[in-house]
Amino acid sequence: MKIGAILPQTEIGADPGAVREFAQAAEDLGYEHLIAFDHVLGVDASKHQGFSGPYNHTHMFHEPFVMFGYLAGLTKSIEMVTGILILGQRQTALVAKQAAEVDVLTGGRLRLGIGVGWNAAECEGMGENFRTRGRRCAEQIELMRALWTQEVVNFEGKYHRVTHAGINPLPVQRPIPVWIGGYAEAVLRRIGEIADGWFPLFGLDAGALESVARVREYTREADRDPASVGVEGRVRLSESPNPDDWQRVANIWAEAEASHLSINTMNAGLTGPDQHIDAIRRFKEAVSA
Amino acid sequence: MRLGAIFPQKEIGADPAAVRDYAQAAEDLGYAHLLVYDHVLGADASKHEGWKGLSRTDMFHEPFVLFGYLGGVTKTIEMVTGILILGQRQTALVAKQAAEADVLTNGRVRLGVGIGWNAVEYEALGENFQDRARRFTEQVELMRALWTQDVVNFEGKYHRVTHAGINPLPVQRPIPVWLGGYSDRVLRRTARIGDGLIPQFAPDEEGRERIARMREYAAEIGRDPMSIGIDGFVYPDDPSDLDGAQREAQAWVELGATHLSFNTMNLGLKGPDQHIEAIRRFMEEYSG
Repeated sequence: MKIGAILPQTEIGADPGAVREFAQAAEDLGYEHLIAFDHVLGVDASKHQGFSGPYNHTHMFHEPFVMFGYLAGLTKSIEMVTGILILGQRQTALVAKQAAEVDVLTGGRLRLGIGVGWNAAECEGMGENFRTRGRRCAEQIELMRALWTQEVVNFEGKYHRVTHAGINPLPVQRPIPVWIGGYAEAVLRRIGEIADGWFPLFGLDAGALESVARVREYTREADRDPASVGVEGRVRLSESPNPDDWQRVANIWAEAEASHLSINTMNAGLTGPDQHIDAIRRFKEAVSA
Repeated sequence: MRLGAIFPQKEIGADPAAVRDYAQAAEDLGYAHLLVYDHVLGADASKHEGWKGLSRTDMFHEPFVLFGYLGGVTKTIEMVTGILILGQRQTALVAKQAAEADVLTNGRVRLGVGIGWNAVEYEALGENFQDRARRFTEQVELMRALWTQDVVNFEGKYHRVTHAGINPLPVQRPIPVWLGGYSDRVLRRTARIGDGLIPQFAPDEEGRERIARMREYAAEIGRDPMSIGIDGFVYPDDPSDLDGAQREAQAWVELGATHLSFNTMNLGLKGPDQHIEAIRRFMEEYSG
């Protein structure tokens, strides 16, 4: 399994130096990829009745594409991964363009994890339709892949029209790998049909292994090689605080034939970049042992 | 007077090292800002009848991602979009990405915005080309709210944000917004809401008249006309014509420009080294 670190978006703070140090430390420690979550807007939960989302306006999120641009020049080999970018609330052609730019500036180090999101107020603030986000997703991916591989695209879909136009520069990876995050049945099917990989986005206690089997099944049904669809398992420090837990969880993901595994150090009471760096150092030592 | 260099988008190529070398050279030479054009898509001119604009063969690095990159490899040089086509992008995302670039550069972003001319690009981005001018003022208003308030509650004609905000806020609260263009409507809009003007016209007699008009509009609504910056472009006709470039720069100075941006594209220069050499010679001449 390739071992990655999740950038502690909500806890690292706004200092660019801290972002740089965490990313460089992860690279130096031998992590193969760095994952960034994405939210463009956070809502004031006190003003939204019945709001139950995990994040509100007090949670900080660096914007992944601009931040990956920043880290491109400050790192050498670590892969940059959105995990996930809320695709349905962004303009498809702009995501394709900005992802391509990150890929160019990093020399082909981008993996684009996408999902449909859960935050209707955020989608509203972005001027996009929350209800159709699932239906639009497959067409968004199709158009992005066209824009990443053809100099000129002529595309007429149900939700998009591009008339003999294209992005320039094209990315280094043509196309950039697209992974999908989520666990709803429709998402698992979509992953089997069109994704390069899957972010389960849940813990092992939520029937993960059974879902992995279902994704493999959907992949076979779509006449694709199940082994060609990556799976990124996750360890949460908040739920698995001890090195024994880390190894145990890592083993379960390995048995499920996960291709990647990443460590999330948020919500575990750590403060400042140094404590997060120390946590990923200990995690890497434990799972490499 | 702040002297800037226009990033040679169309001629620098896709090599990140060339992009970095150019930006660092501009900074080392004493340029105060780097101005970057924006296009998300280019159209295939052969398939669009009567096409006159830029085409798909022209390369454009995406400004916000580029500013992130340059934020990490430069120290002081200001990053300017000149201009970003605001009407074809989502307002909240522009606010978020500009804020992120501002955070990562420690407050070095200036956002030049305009409405653009390319209907094909708007279509591909799923935005309405016809009402782009009408939406513009509201877009700027919403961005400024998002840059200065933790939580924004906004109901406009084209936007609705319900008790939500971006985090982190930018270092500059708000980020300066400059308007690009030449029409009378742009001059009026700049007088009303702009921190500055990026004139898309020359500093000739007609240009002088436009600047005067923009200042009159500002005075009419009680704004100090001289508080509105002007970033004049210097476009030499020929790479060796430094005298002509100096004359154009001088003409902008006489019009009260606060900034100058020196262009090296479309002069037949090849590769980053020749562009760096051109901005080096211009800076020498200008300082000398």
